[in-house]
Amino acid sequence: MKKERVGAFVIFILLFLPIVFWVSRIPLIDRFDSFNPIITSIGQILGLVGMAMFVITIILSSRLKFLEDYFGGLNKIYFWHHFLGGFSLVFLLFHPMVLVLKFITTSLRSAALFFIPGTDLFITFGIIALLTLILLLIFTLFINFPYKTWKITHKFMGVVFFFAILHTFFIPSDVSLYLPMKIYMGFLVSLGILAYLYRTIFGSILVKKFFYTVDQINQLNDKVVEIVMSAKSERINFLPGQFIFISFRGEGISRESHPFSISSGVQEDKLKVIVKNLGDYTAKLGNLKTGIEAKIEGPFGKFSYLHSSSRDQVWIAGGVGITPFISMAKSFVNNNYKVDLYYCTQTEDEMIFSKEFSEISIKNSNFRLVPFCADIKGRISVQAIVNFSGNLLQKDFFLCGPPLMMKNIRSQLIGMDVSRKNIHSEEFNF
Amino acid sequence: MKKTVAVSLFIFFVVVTSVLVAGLVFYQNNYNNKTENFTNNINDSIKVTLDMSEIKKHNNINDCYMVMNNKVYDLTSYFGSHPGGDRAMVLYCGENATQAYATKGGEGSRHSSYAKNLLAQYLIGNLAK
Repeated sequence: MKKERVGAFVIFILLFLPIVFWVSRIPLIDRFDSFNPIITSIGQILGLVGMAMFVITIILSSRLKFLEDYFGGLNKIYFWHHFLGGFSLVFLLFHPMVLVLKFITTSLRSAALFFIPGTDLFITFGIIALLTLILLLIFTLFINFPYKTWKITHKFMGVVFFFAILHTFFIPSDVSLYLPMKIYMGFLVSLGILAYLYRTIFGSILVKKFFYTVDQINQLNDKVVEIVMSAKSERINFLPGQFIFISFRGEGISRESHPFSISSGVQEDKLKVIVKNLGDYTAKLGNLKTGIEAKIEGPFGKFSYLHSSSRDQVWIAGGVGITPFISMAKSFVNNNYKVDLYYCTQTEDEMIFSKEFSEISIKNSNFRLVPFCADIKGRISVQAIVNFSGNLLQKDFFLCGPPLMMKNIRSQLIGMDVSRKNIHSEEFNF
Repeated sequence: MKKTVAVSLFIFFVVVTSVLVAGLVFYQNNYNNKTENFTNNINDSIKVTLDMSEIKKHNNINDCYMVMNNKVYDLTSYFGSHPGGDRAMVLYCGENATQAYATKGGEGSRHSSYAKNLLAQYLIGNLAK
């Protein structure tokens, strides 16, 4: 098994183990011998797996760097974080909906009382946890809060976690009554608590940070700025194509950290990032003052031309998705690597780095720039890549750009028999 | 995934709202009559005093009396609704189930306060001393 698939495999095992313990306590024939035990059993499984998913979601949000190797990068970890977070809510929504069926057979009033807090202390804890989780995930999925506000609301997942733990361990169930299950869920929950303490409560102390000073703010066009920083002490050690989280500590800018691709070469003294004005936070970055401090966490990501099996590569950048390729091109070493960079923008004016790439391609015959302006050539297609770069099957592909563009290119490549393992993409969807 | 969550949330709100409205409206509409009848029934029933020899006659799933904390309950109509299954209950028909009720048949946990309120509806009398 490839190392980057181990993470998904471990998640599957961690979710399957509660079911194994649950089955080992009481034989299935007794669990499913009539209507009420069947309903109880389904409700319990939904609750157990939903809780396990929720805890794993919290563990994955801790940005532990060693986990990147087992998932294929932080963006893949966040994919699992979103996936499990959403489905834990689905499982936990159906947990009481199934259990209430056994009360409906007695009386509608008893079923109604099951949903009302206060009837039973530990059921009440479960109700508080579920209602808070519903609220916080509605904020996350369906309401477009500013990132800063959303991040504050997301910290209240600790409240959900606290009440969910009380509900899980103290309500009469297989967790409270069966020692192996109690030990397993205790282990999982302990990891979750440690991850929450590490990231959310003591993150400012425990998470390693690099301290830089903002030296220059270069306005590249009306929407794009380059921020140049120098290290105050220890320099961050990164691979070309990786990204960092930056928290700027100046007046007029909020302090929450945001991810940015590094655009400087590995050999450069200064650290550079390119920012496009995409919203309320990035709009303010153009007004940063030089001399302010930048707290940096990272680097993260496996999106680097050095992390691929083939040295014959095609890089496809859309719009501001060019940023990781700037670092990769600046760090490019002609060591049997052969790269075609497709630089795609809507208009020619948006192609603000074509001069730098042209200079690199002049110096390195194995690095070719292919400008692809949609207004002139239309949207890029894999057929256009075949026409210029030739046979696709021995190449590795690096994609970074708008989600729809990456999805289209990926599906076209797969349609032309390119293996999924040869397609690398960078999604900023934190 | 977003669609799955949205559909699940919709189902959840529909189910919870329906159960709450049906349960509480049903309860409100029938509260006075029910409470009155229930109280009268309990008051009438509570006057009944049964000894263990009488209780032991009601020892099966179709006619099940149980003693808990010196009170006698007719749980015949509750079969099919017990979350722990009928098997857990039928062993105690015609018996003093105080200990079993307190420990959930020896599991060591107590019944919830919700279960206690539910049990009160099945009270029929006191155990003769």
